[in-house]
Amino acid sequence: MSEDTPVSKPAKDGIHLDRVSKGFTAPDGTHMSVFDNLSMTFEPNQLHVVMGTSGCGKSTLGYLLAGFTTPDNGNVTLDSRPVRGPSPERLLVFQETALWPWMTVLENVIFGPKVRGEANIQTLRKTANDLLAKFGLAEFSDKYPDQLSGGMKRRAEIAQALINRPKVMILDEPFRGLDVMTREILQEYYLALFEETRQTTVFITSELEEALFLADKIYIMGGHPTEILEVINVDLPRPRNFDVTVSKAYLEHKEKAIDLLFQSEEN
Amino acid sequence: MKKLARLLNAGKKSWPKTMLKKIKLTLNWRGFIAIFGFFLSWYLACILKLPGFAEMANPVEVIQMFAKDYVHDGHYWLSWVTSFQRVLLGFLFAQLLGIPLGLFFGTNDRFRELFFPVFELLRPIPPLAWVPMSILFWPTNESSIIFITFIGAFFIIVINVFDGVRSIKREHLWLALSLGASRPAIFLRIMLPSVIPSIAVGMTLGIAITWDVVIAAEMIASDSGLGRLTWEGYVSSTPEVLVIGMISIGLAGYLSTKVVNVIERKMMPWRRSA
Repeated sequence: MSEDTPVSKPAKDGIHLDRVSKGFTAPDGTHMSVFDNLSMTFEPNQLHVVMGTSGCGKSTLGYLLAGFTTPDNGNVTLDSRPVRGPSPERLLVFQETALWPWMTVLENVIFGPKVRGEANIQTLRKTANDLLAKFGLAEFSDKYPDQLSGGMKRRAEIAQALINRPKVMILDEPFRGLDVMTREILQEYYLALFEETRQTTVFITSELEEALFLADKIYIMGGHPTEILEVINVDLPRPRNFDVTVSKAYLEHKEKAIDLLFQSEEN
Repeated sequence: MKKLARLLNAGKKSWPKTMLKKIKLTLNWRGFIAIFGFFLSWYLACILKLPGFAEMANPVEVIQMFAKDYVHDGHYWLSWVTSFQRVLLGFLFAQLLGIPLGLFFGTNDRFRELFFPVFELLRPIPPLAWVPMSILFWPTNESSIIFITFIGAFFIIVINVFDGVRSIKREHLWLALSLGASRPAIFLRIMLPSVIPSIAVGMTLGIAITWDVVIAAEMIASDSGLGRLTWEGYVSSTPEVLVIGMISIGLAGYLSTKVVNVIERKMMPWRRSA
């Protein structure tokens, strides 16, 4: 299905949406427009957070970037090449776990490089085990996903995507449904990972605190059809840890963001 | 932190286990009383010749006759073999044809549009309604009984597999696609395993209905098997035989279900320790 070959090089020009329109036909036959002439840019080596209320089309945006659906009009490009279908260059971590329950954690992780025949199994196993060890899952590589806790599943999924060295990682509300403690641990975890790799990331969420803590740039989406209501550049220093959430700069950002959100709710 | 987690985990594990043990013990104790009570009431009903029980054999008579005439009787054990053979063959053919057909229905739109209506036309016909036609169609009695048994399981298996294909999680397919899996790889490594739980459900339901059907078919159209044995007990007015037949059929069905369950667990190693 995918013509693109996996490349480990970082995205050069990032992902662009150029006047993208996307709609659905409801069961009663009416057309619902999700995006109308939406243009936006995800720059390389940046962590972008897409924020919006549920049902505003955040997931649809993720699916467009990953190539699971195609725009009705307009273009999505990665490094100036049009996005056509799913590809290991653009990997999405799903909102609810998409690990295959019949494969062990290790089998899940090596699936991508294995089906593409990239290396022999021994090498792949070694790479995957190293990666899993880094994610604190060394002892769980031979377990099945249903034997893992929610937080472990999310880490395994991130490993499953990372081993393919994608140009862009898209995370669709990845920590939703986890308890607060696990969630904060994973946020810090993902942040450290990002600061180490500078992996171009599109992080979709509906939580402001999560957005402010992680992002270089926040897109606040809303309206009908959905558009960018506000862009917030989060210039908090990196590397960050949870101490940043009590800093003056963070609180100012938060206050400003809440004001913007209220305004957009009223409009 | 780690200590806390360990404590929490320990609590989680030990509590249901001890509870389960207790529940099991009470169940067994009450269960024994219930089973004893059942046989006692049956015995008393026969001795007292309660309405409907006048012609019935009591449990003691049944056990006596079983020990005297049946345990060492080759003919009796041959009935087991005969019925098991029919169930096994009908069940196997139903799997061999039903699983691929269900997969085709689920994956190929054109194939489904073409053949599904015929399938749906035939599906509501109860297996036993096929008996006369089956006898006319098949050259031997044996093949017609196996055919009816096959029919019993076939439709259930196809529908379950078809449903299994349709309920494959979109995310599971998308993930494989984006990781660069080829179509054959997606079929073998994603679609087939996704459908295994549905195949298992089809097997569980299939084996039960197969026994239903084989027993009825044997009573109607055969001179052998456990169904026939039971029917002969009725025809020859030997109620002990009738009861021996019924219990044998119950046991045979129970054993088959157990075997199928073992196979299902082997098919789904990821479910075992979840």
